[in-house]
Amino acid sequence: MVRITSSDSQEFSVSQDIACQSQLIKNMIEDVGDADEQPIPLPNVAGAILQKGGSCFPSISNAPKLTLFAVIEYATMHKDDPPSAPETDAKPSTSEDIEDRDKQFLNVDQGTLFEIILAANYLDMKSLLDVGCKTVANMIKGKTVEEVRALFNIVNDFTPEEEEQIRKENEWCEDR
Amino acid sequence: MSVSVQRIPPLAMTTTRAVVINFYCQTLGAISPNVANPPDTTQTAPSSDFISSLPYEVAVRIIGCLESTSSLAVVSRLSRRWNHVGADNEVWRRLYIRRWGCVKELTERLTKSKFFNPMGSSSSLVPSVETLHNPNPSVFADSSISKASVAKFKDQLQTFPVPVKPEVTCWDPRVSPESPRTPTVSNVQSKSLDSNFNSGAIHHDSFSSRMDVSEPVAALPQIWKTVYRQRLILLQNWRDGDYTVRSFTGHSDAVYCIQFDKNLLASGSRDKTLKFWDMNDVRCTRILTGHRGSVLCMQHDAANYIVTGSSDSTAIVWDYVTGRPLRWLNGHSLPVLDIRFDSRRIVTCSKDCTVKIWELESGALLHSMDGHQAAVNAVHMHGSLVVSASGDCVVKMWNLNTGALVRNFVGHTRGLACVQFDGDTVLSGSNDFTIKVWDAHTGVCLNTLEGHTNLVRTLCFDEQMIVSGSYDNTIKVWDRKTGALLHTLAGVHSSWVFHVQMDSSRIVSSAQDKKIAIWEFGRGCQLVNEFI
Repeated sequence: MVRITSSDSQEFSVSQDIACQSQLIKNMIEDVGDADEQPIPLPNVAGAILQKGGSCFPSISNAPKLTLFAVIEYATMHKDDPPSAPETDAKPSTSEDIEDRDKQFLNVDQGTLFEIILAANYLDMKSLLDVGCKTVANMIKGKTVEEVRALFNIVNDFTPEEEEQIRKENEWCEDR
Repeated sequence: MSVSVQRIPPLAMTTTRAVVINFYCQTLGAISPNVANPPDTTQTAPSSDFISSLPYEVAVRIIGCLESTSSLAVVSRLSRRWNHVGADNEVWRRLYIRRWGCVKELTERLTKSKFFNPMGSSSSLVPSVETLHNPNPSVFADSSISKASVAKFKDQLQTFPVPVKPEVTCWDPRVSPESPRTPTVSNVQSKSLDSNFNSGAIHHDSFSSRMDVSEPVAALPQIWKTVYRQRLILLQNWRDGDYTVRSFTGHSDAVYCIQFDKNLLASGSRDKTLKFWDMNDVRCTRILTGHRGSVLCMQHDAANYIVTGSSDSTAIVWDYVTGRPLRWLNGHSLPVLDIRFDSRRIVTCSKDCTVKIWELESGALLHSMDGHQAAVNAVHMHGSLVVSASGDCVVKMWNLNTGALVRNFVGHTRGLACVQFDGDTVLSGSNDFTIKVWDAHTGVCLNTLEGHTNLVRTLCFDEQMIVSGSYDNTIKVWDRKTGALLHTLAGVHSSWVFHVQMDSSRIVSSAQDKKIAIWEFGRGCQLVNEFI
């Protein structure tokens, strides 16, 4: 078992094969040896960000869960996955190929989704980061500029002239 | 009606769950105010802009999952930051790979290309995008080279330093396709495009390494959006049928077979010779003689070997460098109609109804397959498989190692003249005037292309296009995905088309009229030399 603590000093105890899906933790364990004695601090992962719904645990569905909790849940779900093949130049993955269980897992509010992505980035969990990014990309697909701005609350900081220029410069991208 | 199946979680999950739930119960008190008012999960706009506060490498990773340029056009218009992310090199490189496949060789050529020689560095977003993407690529050549005829040969704008101005001989086919072509000779200046293409300064090695990409890419500046656009210009030329054509008569009789690359064109003829030509000025660079009959088929590896097949019923293996015959392959009793070879084996097929496999190094006969009921007109190999097309209307697939028949492709109603195979797809052309597209793994016919009005003699294809040549004297260009006929190239060959070959920007064809024609689709594409 590996003990890890979130930024708000909450301690989690998880099996090594689950914890080591995080390349960061794996490297730490390799660096410091047996990690059982000292909990591994993860100061960049907030424990107390609340998340609602979509839980894989029926008994606590509709209850809040924590980012680290969610990340552990994901790691547990995927602990028996074969090691992911390195991405080759020949075939980049597309945003279409998300497993159903991951779709369900990431069916959360935007704030939580971005927290999970940030945690995955920090913890260096490639598969979770990938699936999180694909989920956001799928939210962008097929939408207009205004729709995407509204969806993510993005402030348009172009001047009208700049915006028109950018539009013209990218005209060739349309319908190809 | 649905049945729900409850899955029992594995032990580790149960353990973790217990631990976490335990933790959850312990800490719930501290966070209960939020629990009382859980956030709304419906997809309404959040109060803050999460996506814009993501680290750059994560933002690029998200945008890198988008698969269409139109989605990226939307991203670039969202805000300054997203315009920046949407022009990221790695995003466009991935998009390019999705569409056109492996870029290893292209990357090497681009690294050497003067086109992308970086000019200083600018981190200011909008100006760098302005300079990186010229809104009207045709402006380049038009503004500096006044002659419209020269503008048609923008592919001649060398992207390498060229000490000597190349001399270009060009014919415009659409002016007067039937009249004798008067060559117009123009000097096309080597032109530095550096000033038009600034390179973005932002470099994100972390993303590259995380994506497990190969290293040479890191050496290139922000170029892939431009590369993608240039490739689209080329594709659009193919779709629009925007080409120029040069043709020449270099043999004294029908030209049966051709092979070309960036610099060199080889052709085999009924005049019993094999000739090599400079692709740029169609100057003959060498002539090989040795066959006592027509040179019907030929392949060379541009390094060690040339193999030719002839109506004299032999195949000759030549030394590529010296041009001397190394050995004759004697074994067919009638003309050798097609040959292919790889690093180990030669495959020949003949009017004698057999397909034969030979060892390249020794010339030893390894297998002879006699399953066809009529002349075998064409073969094509890929990996350890070879396909053969015969006058008996059937395409057969054989195992090269054992000589065993793998499967038949049955569906054509008259004899077959040509076949192509890339490992997944088989294409066959027939005297029933159609081209059939087959699933190589199952033998199922996926599509039938109708349009030629005589025997389909020759075929080639890539990811985007299928090109066919026919005894109706035309060459047709088809959309690979849909099978739709895009263009008919007519008016140059006045007789049967015997062979077509293609690369990313050209078709080269040969015909019974003794002519070889080079059809160029690179107009306005400044990276045409790199895409080859």
